Amino acid sequence: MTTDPNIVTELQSIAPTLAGITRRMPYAVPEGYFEYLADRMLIEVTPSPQTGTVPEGYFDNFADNMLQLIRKQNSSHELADIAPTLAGISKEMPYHVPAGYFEQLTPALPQPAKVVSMSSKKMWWRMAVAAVLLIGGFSIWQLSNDNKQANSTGLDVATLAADTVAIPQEISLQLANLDASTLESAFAETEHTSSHTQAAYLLETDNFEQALQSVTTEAISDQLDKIPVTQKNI
Amino acid sequence: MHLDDKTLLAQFAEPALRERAYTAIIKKYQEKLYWHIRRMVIEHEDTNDVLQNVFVKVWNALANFREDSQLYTWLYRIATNESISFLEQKKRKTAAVSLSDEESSYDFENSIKADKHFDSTRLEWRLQLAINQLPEKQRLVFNLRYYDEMPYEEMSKMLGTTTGALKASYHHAAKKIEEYILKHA
Repeated sequence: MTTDPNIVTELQSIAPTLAGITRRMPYAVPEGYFEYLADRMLIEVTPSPQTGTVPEGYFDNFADNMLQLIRKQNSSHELADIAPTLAGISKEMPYHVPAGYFEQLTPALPQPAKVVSMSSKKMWWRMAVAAVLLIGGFSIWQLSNDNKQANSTGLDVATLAADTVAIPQEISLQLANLDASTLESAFAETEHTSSHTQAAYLLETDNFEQALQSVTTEAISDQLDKIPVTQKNI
Repeated sequence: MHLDDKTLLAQFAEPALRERAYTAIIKKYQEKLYWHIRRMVIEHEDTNDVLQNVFVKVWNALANFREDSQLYTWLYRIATNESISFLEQKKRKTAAVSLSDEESSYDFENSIKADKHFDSTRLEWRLQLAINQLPEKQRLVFNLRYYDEMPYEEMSKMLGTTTGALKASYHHAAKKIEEYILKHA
């Protein structure tokens, strides 16, 4: 190394002892380090040329292969981080399987599932009971309906028809025993019990007229004579 | 025989000659840059890492190099910055962050003494210990002036410091080293 005289002079004026020391660096450099540094750097900075060919179908499953690799690495790294001792233990199972177990193993076929019938004997019995109840209910309803009609029309008429002969005497006796206030309250009660329409109906029927025709005029006149005058005007 | 910087830069601008020019630049400056870095970071492996980073940056940035400064000044500036960055990272990594230069020099002293060729009886090894007692800026200026014989003007461009300040730094550094050597003689 050639030394600049200005630098030497400058240093001698500042630090004469230092100026007298050799400038050789005591550090060692690995042998041949500088010989190939330029070549190494060129490889470092220049992109490697595309050489060779890619095997056919290499990229078809590339993504899946990479995912599998990553999962495998992740799982192994995860355990290694959590429990390094455990990660170092072999995963081989210490249990033994009887000899020939897997060769003799026959897969158990699944038994067909039991089918439960929806049309059992109990069902027929239940249906029969339901039918009886339905018919019975309908019959009761029908009878009830018929009774209502009979009560409203036919029953009194039949009674009257049966007692056609006895009515004049009976009426005569009953009317003779009744006073005017009793008759009024009876009519009023009849009206209030919603049988007013029924009474009107009875008066209009042929049977009732027929029954009235059988009553003699004398009997009626006798009964009317017994009613006070004030009440006759009413 | 190395080509001059202007020719190397012209070749680097040509795509066909770029790799050849790059190789020539490395061969021309590799040892100077290596030793500049080595004086800063001491150990060879660290020096190698830093030097490779420097040349990678040279490859990436040389096309944008403006010829208003000399190529070697530009290369030294990159090497200096890379060395300082490396030392800061190393201090953080080894948790040896020190607030004073005396504490940081203790790490350098250990690195120097850990060298398998270290011999405390030899003056050049004591000189290295003395240099690495200096604050970082003084150490840098002293190395550039003492070993690389860099003119203050170039150093000023490289470090962005006035020549007067650089002369003062060099003066203080030389005095401290002299005292250290005399003290440890």
